[in-house]
Amino acid sequence: MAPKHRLTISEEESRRQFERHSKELLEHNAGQGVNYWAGSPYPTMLLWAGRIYDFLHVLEEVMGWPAARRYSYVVGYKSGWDGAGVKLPDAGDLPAEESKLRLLHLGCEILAGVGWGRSSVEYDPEGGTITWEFPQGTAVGLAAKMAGPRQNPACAFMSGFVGGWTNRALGSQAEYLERDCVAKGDARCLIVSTDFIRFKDLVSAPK
Amino acid sequence: MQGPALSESGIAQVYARVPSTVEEKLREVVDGLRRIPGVRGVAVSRRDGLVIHHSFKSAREAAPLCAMAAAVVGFSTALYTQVGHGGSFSQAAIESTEDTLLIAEAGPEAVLACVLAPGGNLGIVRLGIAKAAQRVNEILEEM
Repeated sequence: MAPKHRLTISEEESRRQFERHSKELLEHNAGQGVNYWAGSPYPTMLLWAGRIYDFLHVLEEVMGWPAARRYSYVVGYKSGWDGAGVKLPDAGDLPAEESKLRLLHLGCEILAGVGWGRSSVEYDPEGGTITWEFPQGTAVGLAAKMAGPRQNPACAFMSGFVGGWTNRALGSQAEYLERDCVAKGDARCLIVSTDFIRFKDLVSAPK
Repeated sequence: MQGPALSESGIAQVYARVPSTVEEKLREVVDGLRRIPGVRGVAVSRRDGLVIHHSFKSAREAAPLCAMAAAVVGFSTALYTQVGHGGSFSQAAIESTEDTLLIAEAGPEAVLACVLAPGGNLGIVRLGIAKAAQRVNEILEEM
C-alpha cells in the first residue's frame, strides 16, 4: 500500500524561498524598465493580488460565478502547467515517484517564494487524491477578503494553477476545486482534487 | 483561442470528466440531435463551460463554443434576474450569415449548444434541444 505524502513549507523556508525567487532570480532590464525572472524571456512584473481577483469579479458580474470561474481557472491552469514544465528538468534525474514529489514541493517553494501563498500538499497515490492547503489563505483569497465578504470562493485562478502544476508533475488529469476560501469566511484556502463539480450545491446566491 | 497554445499548454485536457457509462448516455443524446438535418455540431458543457461531451472534430473546436455558451446562459440568467418579469432563461438563438447557434440550459449543472446550418428547420431543432436538455439533466442527476 503506497504511503500518503505530505509536503510542506515552513515559515522559515518561506522566507528563504522569498529571498531566492523574489530577489535572487529577479533581474531588472533598466533600458526597458521591465523585470525578468529566472532567465525566462517573458516580462515579469509586480501586480497587486487584487487585480487577479478582479479578473474573476468583473466577469462574474456579467456572466455569473460558474462561467467566470472557468475563465480564471483556465488562465491559472496554463500558468501552472507551463511553470511545472519549466521545472521538469530540476527533477529529471530522480526516480519517477521522487521526481513527482520533488516537483510538487517545488510548486510549494515557488508559490511561497513569489508571494502567492504558503502551502502544504497532501498526496495519496493510492486514492489518487491531492489537497493543497494554504493555512493562512492565498494572496488572491486575502485580497478578495479585503474587497468584502463573498458567497463563493475567490481562488479559481489559484485552483487552476495548482491543477495545471499538479497534473504536469504527476502526469494526471484531475480537476481541482477551491473548497475553502478566506474570502468567504473560512480560516484557510483549501484546493482539492475532485470529481464532477456540481454548481447547484456550490452557488449560494446570484452574484 | 490560438491553436498551438491549446495543446502545448495542456488546456485541451481541461474538461469535465464523467464516468464512461454517463458519457455513453450523453453520446446517445448528442447523436440524436446531430441526426436532425442541418445540425452541424452539438456540445454538452458543464455550467462553468468546461466540455463534457461533443460531436465536433476536436476538443479544440468544442472548447470555445462551450465556454461561450455557458457565458451566454450566465449572462442571460443575470439579465432575467434584473429585468425579467418572473420568467427564467430557457433557450437563446444567435444567428449569423453562416449558421445559427442555439443554446439551452440543461438543468442546473449543464448547458447544451447546437450549431445549425442555414436552411435547417429551426422549429424542429428547438424542440429537439428542449427534449435533449431535459434528458441531459436527467442523466447528470442520476450520476
